[in-house]
Amino acid sequence: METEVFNLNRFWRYFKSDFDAFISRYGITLLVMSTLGLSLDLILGLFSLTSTGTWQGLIGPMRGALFFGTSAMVLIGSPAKLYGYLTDKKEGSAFLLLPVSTFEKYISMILITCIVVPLMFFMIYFGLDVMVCMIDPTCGTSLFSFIFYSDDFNLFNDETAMAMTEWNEFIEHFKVLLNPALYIDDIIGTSLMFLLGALIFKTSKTGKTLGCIILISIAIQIVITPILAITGLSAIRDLGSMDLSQLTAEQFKTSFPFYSWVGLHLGLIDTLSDMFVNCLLLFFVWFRVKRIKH
Amino acid sequence: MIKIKDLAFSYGDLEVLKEISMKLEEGRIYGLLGENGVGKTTLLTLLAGLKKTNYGSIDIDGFNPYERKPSFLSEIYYLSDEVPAIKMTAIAFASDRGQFWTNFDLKKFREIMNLFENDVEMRMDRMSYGQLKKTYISFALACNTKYLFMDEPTNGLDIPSKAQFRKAVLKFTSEHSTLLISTHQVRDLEALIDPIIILDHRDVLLNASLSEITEKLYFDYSTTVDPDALYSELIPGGCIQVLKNDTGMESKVNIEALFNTVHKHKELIKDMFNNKKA
Repeated sequence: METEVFNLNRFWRYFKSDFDAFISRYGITLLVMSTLGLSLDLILGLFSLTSTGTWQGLIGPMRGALFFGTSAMVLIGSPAKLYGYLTDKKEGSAFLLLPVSTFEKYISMILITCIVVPLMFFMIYFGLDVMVCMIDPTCGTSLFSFIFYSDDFNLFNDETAMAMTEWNEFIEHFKVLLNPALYIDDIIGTSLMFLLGALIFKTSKTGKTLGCIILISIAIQIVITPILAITGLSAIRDLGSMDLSQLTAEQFKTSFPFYSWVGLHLGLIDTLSDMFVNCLLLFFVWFRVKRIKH
Repeated sequence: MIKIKDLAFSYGDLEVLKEISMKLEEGRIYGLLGENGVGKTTLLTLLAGLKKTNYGSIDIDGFNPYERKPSFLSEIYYLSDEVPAIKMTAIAFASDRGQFWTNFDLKKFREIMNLFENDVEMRMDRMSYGQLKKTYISFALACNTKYLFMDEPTNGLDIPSKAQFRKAVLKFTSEHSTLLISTHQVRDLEALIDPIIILDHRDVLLNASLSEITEKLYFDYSTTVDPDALYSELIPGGCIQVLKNDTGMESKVNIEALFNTVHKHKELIKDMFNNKKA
């Protein structure tokens, strides 16, 4: 009975086949997207070399913006390219009738969309960027170092921190939000959202998913904002009546226990809420794969 | 064995199948006939597990198709009327997908492709519709499944390919395999299908073997029309007519004439053949 749900040998064969299909469907696009930084750097460098006689590739902020832009495009666009065919009668039927369990197909789909694609993209992108920065002296800090090790990324610089010594406990917890590791679940969540959209919508999958996310966000805001306004009104009034320049961290903790608790557990709250949303998305994707008909 | 009991299916408010019951035995090549929209494709997709029944049940060797268990899926192959053009060569496709069917035989795939004069090294997205269809037919037969459901398999095939298809089906299917072939091109499959199932909106009008049919109906090819004929049609050089076989004489079934007779005398035919229910 167990082999009907999960068989390692069958799963491995299926995963290899699914991986090959991923390379065939999205390999070139992924390669183009992950080498976009290098390509633009080369183009700009060559342009600069021919026009000014000096090499000047992509400058820091542009490199960062390009990286975040291409990352978003990969995370948003890849699920529809990879598994959008499931809603197509011809290809979707072939997927459903392949003698592999639905669970195995689902696990493979999740691994490829949420792990393999982002990992390959980031590895190639960062790898090439590090290489460029090693060769090109005008490059400055590599994106990898900038994101993971640079103090420049720390919005709370030493000067501010010095002036707010009393609030250091809170600042330390705000800093947690700048830890890149905290965004792994967001990357998975984004991939899952667009995978779900790819499995639900028959056409304009990415656009419709974006539209739904916007509508859901608006709906959540409509519900949450009045609740926060009502429940937090007294706190806001109290805060308004205080001389904020004299407000100490201890006073804040005593007067606003809930808000100070939130401030001191931002990383945990973020991770738990993301995990909750991701679990919901995983369930919906599973439900969709299980119930799909043609 | 396939057991269908009180099967009902509808697309929203549009009822397609209602109280369909029948049994399909092993080792037979069933021809599934019916007018457009009676639910032939729907029935095949329900048997393959692509759809869920609204009411009633389908039992294939103890499996509920919709559960799509791997051990069930490796015993069936559903060849749809519309097949996808994959971006890979036929042989790469067969090697990649075939590994999941327990009894898949790549050598057999090559052999059938060769019979169809199809190039195994050709990319499927560059094939003509007929070539693509022949690739999928070859793959379906090479899977060596116990149950093979085919929806309009001869659509898009040229005249020589239709003969090759009949030859391939007869040569490459096991005597234990059950084939269910839905078709409008009855002449393409006349020498192949036996028994014949004629589906009507909400009913199975006929589910009988050729010998049972000729036992009860007589297909007469003559120049004069018999007034007692259940159905008659002019053909070049005379007419074909279908009569009740009261004398026990043997005749060759003309499937088109049979189909028209069944549709003209639905209740009579059902009574005559005691429409086998599961």
